[in-house]
Amino acid sequence: MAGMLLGRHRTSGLAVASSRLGREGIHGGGEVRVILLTVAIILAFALLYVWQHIQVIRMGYRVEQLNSELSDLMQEEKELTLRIAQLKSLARIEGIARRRFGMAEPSPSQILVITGDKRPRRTFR
Amino acid sequence: MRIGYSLFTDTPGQWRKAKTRFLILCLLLSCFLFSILLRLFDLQIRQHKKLSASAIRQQQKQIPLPSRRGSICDRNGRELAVSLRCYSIFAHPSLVQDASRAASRLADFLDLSAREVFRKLRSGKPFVWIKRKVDPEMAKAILDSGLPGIFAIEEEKRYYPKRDLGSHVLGFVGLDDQGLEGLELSYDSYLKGSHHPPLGYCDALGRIAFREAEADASWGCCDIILTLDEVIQYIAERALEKGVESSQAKGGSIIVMEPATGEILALANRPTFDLTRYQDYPPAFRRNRAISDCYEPGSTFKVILAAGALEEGVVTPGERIYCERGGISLNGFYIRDYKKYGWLTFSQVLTNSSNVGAIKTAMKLGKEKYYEYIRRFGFGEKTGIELPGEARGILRRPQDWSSISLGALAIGQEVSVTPLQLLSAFAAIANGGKLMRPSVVKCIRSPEGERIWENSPQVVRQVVSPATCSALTQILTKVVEDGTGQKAAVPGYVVAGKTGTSQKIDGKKGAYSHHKVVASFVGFVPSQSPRVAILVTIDEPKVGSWGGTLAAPIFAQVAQETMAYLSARSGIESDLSPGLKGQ
Repeated sequence: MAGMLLGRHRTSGLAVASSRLGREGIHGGGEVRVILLTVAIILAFALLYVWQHIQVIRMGYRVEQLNSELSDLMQEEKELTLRIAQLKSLARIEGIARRRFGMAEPSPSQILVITGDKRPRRTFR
Repeated sequence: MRIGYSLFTDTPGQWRKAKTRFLILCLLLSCFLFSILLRLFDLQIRQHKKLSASAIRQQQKQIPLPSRRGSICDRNGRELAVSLRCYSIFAHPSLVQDASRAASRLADFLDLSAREVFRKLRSGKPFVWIKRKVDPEMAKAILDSGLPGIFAIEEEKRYYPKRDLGSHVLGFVGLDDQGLEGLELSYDSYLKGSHHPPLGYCDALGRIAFREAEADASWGCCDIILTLDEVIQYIAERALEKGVESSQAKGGSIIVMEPATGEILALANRPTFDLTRYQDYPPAFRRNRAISDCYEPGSTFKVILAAGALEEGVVTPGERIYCERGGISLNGFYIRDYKKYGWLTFSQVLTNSSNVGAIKTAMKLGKEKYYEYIRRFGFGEKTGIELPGEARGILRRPQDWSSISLGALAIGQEVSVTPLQLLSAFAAIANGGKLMRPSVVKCIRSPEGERIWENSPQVVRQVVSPATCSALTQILTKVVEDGTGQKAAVPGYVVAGKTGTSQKIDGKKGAYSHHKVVASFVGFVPSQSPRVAILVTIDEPKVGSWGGTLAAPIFAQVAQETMAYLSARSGIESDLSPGLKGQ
């Protein structure tokens, strides 16, 4: 009972409130548990709701991070594509073939045209 | 006993005091709540618009994307124009603390004049560009240097990896990425896509948490796939460069077309320009001569006359025509032949390019019929190619012709055509009489890689019958075998074509010049089942002046290399598995 004492009357010294609460505590213990359980369930749902939102936001950040990475990779891919296109420029390749390897166009006398119905079979790939 | 207030008061006096205090407290609380209500009214209603806009500014931001302008590729998917992210450096001069130091640092970074940068920073303007379109690494280095008042904004830069290859077809873009010429202009809306990059919703730290659900669908720039083939374009450019240089000509054009579809495989002009530095070239260098410059076609136009005459049955290939031994008088104007010809068959008239024979044939056909065939071949109207700046050419109606017009038109004078119009007409002969609409765009591809538009060959009209085309092809084959176009012969292939040498009008004298000519050759190969039709024009050559000696060898070079490439390519494609074909 002493544990349930909330206040004491200044003049009479009666522990009015505590005795009343004590009585309610004896007879309403089940109700308190129900109330506590209800509060706990509501709290759990509220927490679940908040947790869901936090998860969605967290996933949003993750998705954005991945989008950003994807964007950077696409940019890098474009840069590499451009570089490949520049390197495969026919003018550049011809320049290298002529300067570095001393290649030249064949003269007309060096070209042999094979006529006939069948196309000559390629011997290399 | 009043237990209700026994915890706070002991007497009625105290109770009254407590009641008074309670009322004061209530009043204070009411005042407090009322002030909150007033503030809420101020925030939610009075300043609603301003604060909403401010919130949107803070919460939303545009999501940077890797590229905002589509690529342009050749028919095999090889990139000819690509956009990459870059940054532009700008300043708010009012925020710059030490202009001298900032100018010196920026000049070092950006290879600019320090004085020029200093002048900009001291201009008193609220905003000045320091340099547009710098590399991301450079922009990062500048921002990392921590100069106050200096900022960078993300932009795009257009790159042309093949430099001047196909420059007149591709065109170019301005500083703000808007198309200014060529396909960059005519397909600008497809290439740049939507102007609304996706919006992201940020947190207090500026990190993006979500983006618009429809963002990806609403935004998108398309890639343009051309009918041009990079290799054939290179062959044409190289041959033209060499031809113009060796003849010291003012300019020239080469167009390579697939007769069955009207697809342009190559289109080259000289003079040309470097796409990466287009602003350094005069407008004349950037003009697409192949579609916008008109010239008098000369003897190549005799083929149009021949087609009409054969179709109408006014001549047959074997019919003999007397060529007056070198010249004919037309109402006071004497028109000569290159050689003094006597009797020639109609076939020989074309083979030897006799002016007299052609004039006599035109007289047989009559001006109304001749005009009708000229129109049917598409002269005097635009071909409808997707490029901007196409000319119609000049063709007067028969009622406006003078007494010598019919004779002049028979030899390709008093009519102006574009190189593309002339090639389209020849391609129609190669294609059994079907005039095709020429095109340079094969398809448009969405960012997801789907073909959202595909060009299908369009027949404009049946100009002449296949029988006429067949007869004409045989005659044109003779032109290359025995006639004026022998230098257009390609080993291993039968070539059909026609030479042309037309005098240009001398603006000062108001008459035909004896020195300024356009030398040309137009033909197709192989003559039976042609794969390519090619036109070569050389404008105002100083060394040599005949189509047969100047343009024909260039034609031969382009035709030989193109056929070798196409044969090799078809060989490779036939070796590929069906799934890999057309990729």
